Amino acid sequence: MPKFPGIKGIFLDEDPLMEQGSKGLKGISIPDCGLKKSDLKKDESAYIDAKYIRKSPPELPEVSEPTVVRHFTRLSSWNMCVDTVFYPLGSCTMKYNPKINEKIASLENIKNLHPLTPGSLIQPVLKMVYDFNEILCRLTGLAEFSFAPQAGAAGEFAGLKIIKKYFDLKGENRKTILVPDSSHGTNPASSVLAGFTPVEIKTGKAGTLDAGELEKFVSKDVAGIMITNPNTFGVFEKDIKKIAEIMHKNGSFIYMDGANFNAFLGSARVSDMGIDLIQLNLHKTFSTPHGGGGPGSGALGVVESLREFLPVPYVKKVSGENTAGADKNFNRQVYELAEDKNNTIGKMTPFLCNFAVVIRAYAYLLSLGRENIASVSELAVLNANYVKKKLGKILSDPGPFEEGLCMHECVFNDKAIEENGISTIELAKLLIDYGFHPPTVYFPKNIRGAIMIEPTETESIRTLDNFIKAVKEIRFKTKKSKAVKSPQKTKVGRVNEVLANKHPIFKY
Amino acid sequence: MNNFRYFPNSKKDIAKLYRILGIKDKKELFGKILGGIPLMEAGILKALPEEMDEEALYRFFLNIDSNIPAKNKTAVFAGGGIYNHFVPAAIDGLMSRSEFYTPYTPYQPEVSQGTLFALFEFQSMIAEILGMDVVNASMYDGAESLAEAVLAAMRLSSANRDLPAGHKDDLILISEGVNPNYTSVIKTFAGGTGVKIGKIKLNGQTGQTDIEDLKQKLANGGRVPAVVVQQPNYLGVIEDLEEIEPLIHSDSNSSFIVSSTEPYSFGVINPPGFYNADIFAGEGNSFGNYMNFGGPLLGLFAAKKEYVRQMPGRIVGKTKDGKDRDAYAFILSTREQHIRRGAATSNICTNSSLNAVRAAIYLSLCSKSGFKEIASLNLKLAHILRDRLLSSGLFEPLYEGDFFNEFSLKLKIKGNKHNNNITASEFIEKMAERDILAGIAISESAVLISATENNGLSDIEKYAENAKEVLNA
Amino acid sequence: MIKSGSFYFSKSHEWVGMDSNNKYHIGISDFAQSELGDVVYVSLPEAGKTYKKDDKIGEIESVKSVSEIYAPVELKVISVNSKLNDTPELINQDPNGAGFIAEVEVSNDFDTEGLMDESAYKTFIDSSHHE
Repeated sequence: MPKFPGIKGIFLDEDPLMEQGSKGLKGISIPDCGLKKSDLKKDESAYIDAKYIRKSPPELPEVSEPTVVRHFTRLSSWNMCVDTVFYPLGSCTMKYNPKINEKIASLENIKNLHPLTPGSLIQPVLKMVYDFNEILCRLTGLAEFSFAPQAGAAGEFAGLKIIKKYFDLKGENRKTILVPDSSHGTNPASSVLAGFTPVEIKTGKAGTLDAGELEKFVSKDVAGIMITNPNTFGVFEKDIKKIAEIMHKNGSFIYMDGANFNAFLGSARVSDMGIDLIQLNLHKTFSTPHGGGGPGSGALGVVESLREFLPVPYVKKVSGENTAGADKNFNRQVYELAEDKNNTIGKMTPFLCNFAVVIRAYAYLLSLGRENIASVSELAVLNANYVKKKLGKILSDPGPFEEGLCMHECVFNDKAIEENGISTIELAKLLIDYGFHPPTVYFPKNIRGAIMIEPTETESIRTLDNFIKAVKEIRFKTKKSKAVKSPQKTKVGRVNEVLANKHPIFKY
Repeated sequence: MNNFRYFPNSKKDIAKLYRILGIKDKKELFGKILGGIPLMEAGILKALPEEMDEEALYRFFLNIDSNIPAKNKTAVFAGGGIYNHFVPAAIDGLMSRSEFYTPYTPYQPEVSQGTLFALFEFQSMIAEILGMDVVNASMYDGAESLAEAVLAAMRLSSANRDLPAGHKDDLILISEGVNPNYTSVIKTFAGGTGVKIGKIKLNGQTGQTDIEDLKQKLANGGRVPAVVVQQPNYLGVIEDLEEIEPLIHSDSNSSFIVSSTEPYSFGVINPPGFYNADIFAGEGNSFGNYMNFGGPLLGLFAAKKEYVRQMPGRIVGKTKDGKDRDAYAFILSTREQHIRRGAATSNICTNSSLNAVRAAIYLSLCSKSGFKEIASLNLKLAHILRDRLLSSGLFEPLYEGDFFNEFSLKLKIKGNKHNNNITASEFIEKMAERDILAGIAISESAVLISATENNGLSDIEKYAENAKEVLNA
Repeated sequence: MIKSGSFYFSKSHEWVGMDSNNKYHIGISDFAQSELGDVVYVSLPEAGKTYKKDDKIGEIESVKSVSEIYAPVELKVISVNSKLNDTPELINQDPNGAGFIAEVEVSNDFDTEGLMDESAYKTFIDSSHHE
């Protein structure tokens, strides 16, 4: 058994940069741009009306380059991240972020490309977006994707807007979107933003939505259902096809929150489940880094009948030129940025998409290729079930759905650790001192003291065993008195969030 | 199953996993889970590209990179919402640290102090630049941020009037000086609420928002929850916010929303806070971020303190830990979707955190004097370029108003010689063939042009010389 | 300061009670504040406004939850407890006293239907919240 990573490292303290300055210092090189000294010295009022001119410049820190570099390097050492620790955050798919993707996204001309460069000069870039779209269509069985949504929630919003517009054009005023009670908070929030009223459906005994229960909610007011599959308990919605049929029979849509798509990437198609729309979180399933909160990409896929509603602009193939082959020279104008979608919901973003995220995701898929892509979900599901089985003996499963297999994540309640006087939040904080990032806690809300673990396919049995051993020690050997003080080895201890919220300090 | 390099379980490990779970193979595993849903057919997978080794993959993208306009050859004078600023190497050096780019959102503050502290510094510096009270930890981009600002203003206005959320009688006034893509995004977002969207004309001479038109539209009666103006505006012109602000605030239920796609301007001109703006929502990509073909961008959102509870997005606050040490954490989370669900101020979750950290590093490097100096350089270079182009006799001004680093010109029509007349977009295409991104065509005959510290006098000269050849051809 | 015995509680855990000057106040119960945890923010009703029974009149926030305050009876707000703006913890410390929400005007023979006196409320929380 390997050692716990623990935390024994060096933590260097660091003051705000604002307090480290010395008048006149700066850390940036400024060109003279060939300007004459006299021009450089000229007052701004020689160019614009003095009434517009800012009298005192913003009070930024006054620091040199080495000071800035040391400052932010020290700050970075206070973070846990995927590259340093096991990060089993449920519903977040914290898989390894391949380094080659970073190198590719940093290619000089790509990263400096202006989005309004004439189309004839950027054919390879447009082709890339077009080809990636086709691959996503094959993986899902849907007709077309839009990369306009900048994140998962934006994808949900775009999808719901499409449903709204569809009914508006039909002259039907349907107001309800059905949402399971276990859904991510973004689902009801996106529904409201798109002009709908979310109505919650209770999860059935098996941890899934019950088609019979759903029937009770069906009426001509229902525009659609948003369903996370596998759901937030990590359980596959067995009735999914039936749910889709019920919706379709009612003239409604079935939207799938694809936050958990890692569970069947390359193994099953959403079209076979009857899904009409789905957003794929490229920053989860497709390995692009989370960046400490963003950026992401929530590519939205739809069935044929909804293609005309997708956001604009999009990449359109305008000639039938054979473009096969990776290293062809891109001389002909084959692709263009088009806005000709008859029923488009409009624009989501000023330009095309979060391109630097999309390119990483595309590189990831090309790395895997058809030989490896299906292994992603297989390994993710195997790892999660291994954790479920092993930890199931240590923690108790959430009562109703002990039996059966989970998909890419598993959820436990706090019953077992409570016996030891330890709460879910204390388990989370204790794990930190063992050198693990805590799992998602207290979500889904309908599980008491929920502990939600998503190991992903990029963790080894060795790491999982190590983590399981830590949970076991906490469950059986840890005293309450130690738990309430944890974590003890981090840069700061338990943060006073009450103070932070009662007397908010927003800036220096 | 292959042993692919991103998968740390060997064939033996995988066999062990199956054994422990008491399952034979993938078919049985997914069969049990998926019930009636079929496993993906081999034929579908076959249609996907073959796996690429790392070197082949790199060359594949390198080939793409070498077939688009090259950074070392192209002079970029295009703006229109995204600007070609210099990015210091120190940013890339720092951002290559996994500790910044591979964590999730810092929901566990004890293990995320680095990101939280950096975001707090970001909020502080942006607040200082904008002259606003509270800045959030970022939105997706300037357009989405502005759309959310409009929704926030609508909530504020109905709360004040104590009316339910219906907005059929509400009118949002948006200046025609606002970037048209931003106005489109506002329409996408506000469309479901029933609110009407009205335009305020531009003054044909100055290119500023027309005060008389604004007065008239405000005097029409009706409820106006928000008036939106961009500074400097889409055409590059500096708006006279001092004149506009009191008109809007004569109605206490109206919010004065200022946007900007180029907050670098606030190194030279007065910031939105100076003019008593209620909300600022715009783009921050100019601060240390690459153009990346238009995304990800950095949405900035700021407001007066009293409106903080209507703000969308995450906010970092400063607090203490149990031992009285400074610590940082997300605050006022009850506004957000993960707590308030359908009643949240926004559905946003993932934002542009990493871009915000880049901006914090960038602004620190700039420091007080550098920020002002670079802003001033932008102002001067743009004026030199405009003068140079006008003196060639091939262009004429579109507007007379003052500007920062962006301006618009019309191509001069030369007598009856039709064959010599080219459209603005043809002009840009032809200039692009000469490695000059000459701007953006904003009409048949007008071009929007920007200059930054990345365009020295030699680039300006190159622009002028080539324009002469293209237009006189 | 609220006269013991004058409390009436709603099922959503608000109370209405009378002080020694025969003025009515409203607040939330000790049970409600303990469920909520540390209160960090209170959105107070508007002075001068009239609310019907069960109208939403405000919100109480802890770090990670929000709960709504409903009018336990039909009432008119005379003044609000503005101390809660800076010291919301009063709700935790003294929910039946210094942590009251507002002073209100109610009709002397207000409708007590659906409300509970102190002992009935105690039975109510004992029965409904002990699983």
